[in-house]
Amino acid sequence: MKTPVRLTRRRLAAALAAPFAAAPATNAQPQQDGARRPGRIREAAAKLMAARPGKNISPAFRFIP
Amino acid sequence: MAQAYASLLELNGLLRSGAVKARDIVREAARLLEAEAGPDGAVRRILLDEAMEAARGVERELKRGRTRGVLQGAPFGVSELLQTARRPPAWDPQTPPREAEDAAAVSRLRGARAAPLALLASPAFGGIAEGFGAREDACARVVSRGLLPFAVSLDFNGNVLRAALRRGCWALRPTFGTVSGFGSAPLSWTLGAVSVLARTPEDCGHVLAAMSGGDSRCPHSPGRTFRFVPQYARPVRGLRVADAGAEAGLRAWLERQGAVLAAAQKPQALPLEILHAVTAAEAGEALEQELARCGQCQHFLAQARELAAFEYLRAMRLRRSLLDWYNLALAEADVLVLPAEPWAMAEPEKGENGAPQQWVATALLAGAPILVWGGGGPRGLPAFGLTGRAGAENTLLRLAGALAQGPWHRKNPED
Repeated sequence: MKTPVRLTRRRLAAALAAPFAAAPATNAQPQQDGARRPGRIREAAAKLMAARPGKNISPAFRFIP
Repeated sequence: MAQAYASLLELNGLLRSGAVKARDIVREAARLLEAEAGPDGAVRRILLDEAMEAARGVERELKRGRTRGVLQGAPFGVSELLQTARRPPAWDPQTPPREAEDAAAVSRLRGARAAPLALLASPAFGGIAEGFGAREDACARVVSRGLLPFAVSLDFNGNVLRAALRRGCWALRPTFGTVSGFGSAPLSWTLGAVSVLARTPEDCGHVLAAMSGGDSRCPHSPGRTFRFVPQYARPVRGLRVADAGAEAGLRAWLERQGAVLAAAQKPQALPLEILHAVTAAEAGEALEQELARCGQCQHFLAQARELAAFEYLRAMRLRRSLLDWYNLALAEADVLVLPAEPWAMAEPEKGENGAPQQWVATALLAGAPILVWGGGGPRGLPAFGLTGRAGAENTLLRLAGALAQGPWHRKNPED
């Protein structure tokens, strides 16, 4: 018969951390601009980060009022 | 046969008068579609048995005088970007067939007694890796050639609209949320709209009315149904039209009909960049594993993976301010007329920074309805695009109907 495992604080923390530990630290993509290949999405993202929307604009919206 | 090139209204007239039988229509359409079937053809699969069964039901209903509207007995095409019952979707082939349901749009069309007859080919993942070069050509091809009266597909970045412009048929992308997105490819949750390609603007309206409606399975559904009532929309006389570079003949026609024309404002900056970032983030995240297995999507996926939460949120905040600007810019206009040629481009990057492309991208981001006509040869109505504020479909369809009745219109490209 399987012995039930007591849920301790340490075990809970380890269980919660496991999915993050298993994930790769990065997606193996170089982050330095010099090493990046050009691309439509990269260029778009760079232009978007240069723009400054108003501070009080939320990203959530409704399409049909 | 008579039904090739027939609009939905004409087809329904033939059926109700008893001039043709529903099964004959299905049989003839399937025969025509067979030439398009094949690994590289527009038709992925012909659903003949299913459609014949539905046609038999329609014949029984008509025999006892039961009519259900203009879609009754009409065969139609469904893009691979929409799910059909008992078939694993193209974007998730691991789904067990018994768990695959109809997309909400397909299920509603079945309810109106239209029969899905052909699964139509779509580029890999809708061609999302091609950006503004993505096109749903197969759907537009079968409709413009008169093989089917209409087809439905998913428009996420204008892919359906560009195909209609290229192939020469009508396409209506409705206001975001009008048609439930349940069962459609997760190419972009905040952009994707189930759209219709048809042979007349009236047919687009009838199909949209049948497909629309609230759906608890779709988080973006506002719970409203579209009613196709162009007779209650603003007539062309007195219609306020913003012109973003309409063709000269079209402009002259509008002026003759008494429309009030004014030049459209210059669009705000960055709509194309927002569109690219939003589609990449949403589709890349949803379809990561599938895109990783697709050879031609590797560069797209690599860029999508690099996008940070900061960049997606910046794009969405800029989109929100663009939406507010769009509603203000169209406060004084009922319809915005767009030239068709620059954004029907074959080259993805060609002329991308022009004002018409920016207007189209803004309308897509704002979830506004867009209606396009792909042009009809030397004697035909010139190609154009129409857009307006959310919920303006009836206004667009009334104007399009009037334009289609103009002296330049012809129904059959082989006339």
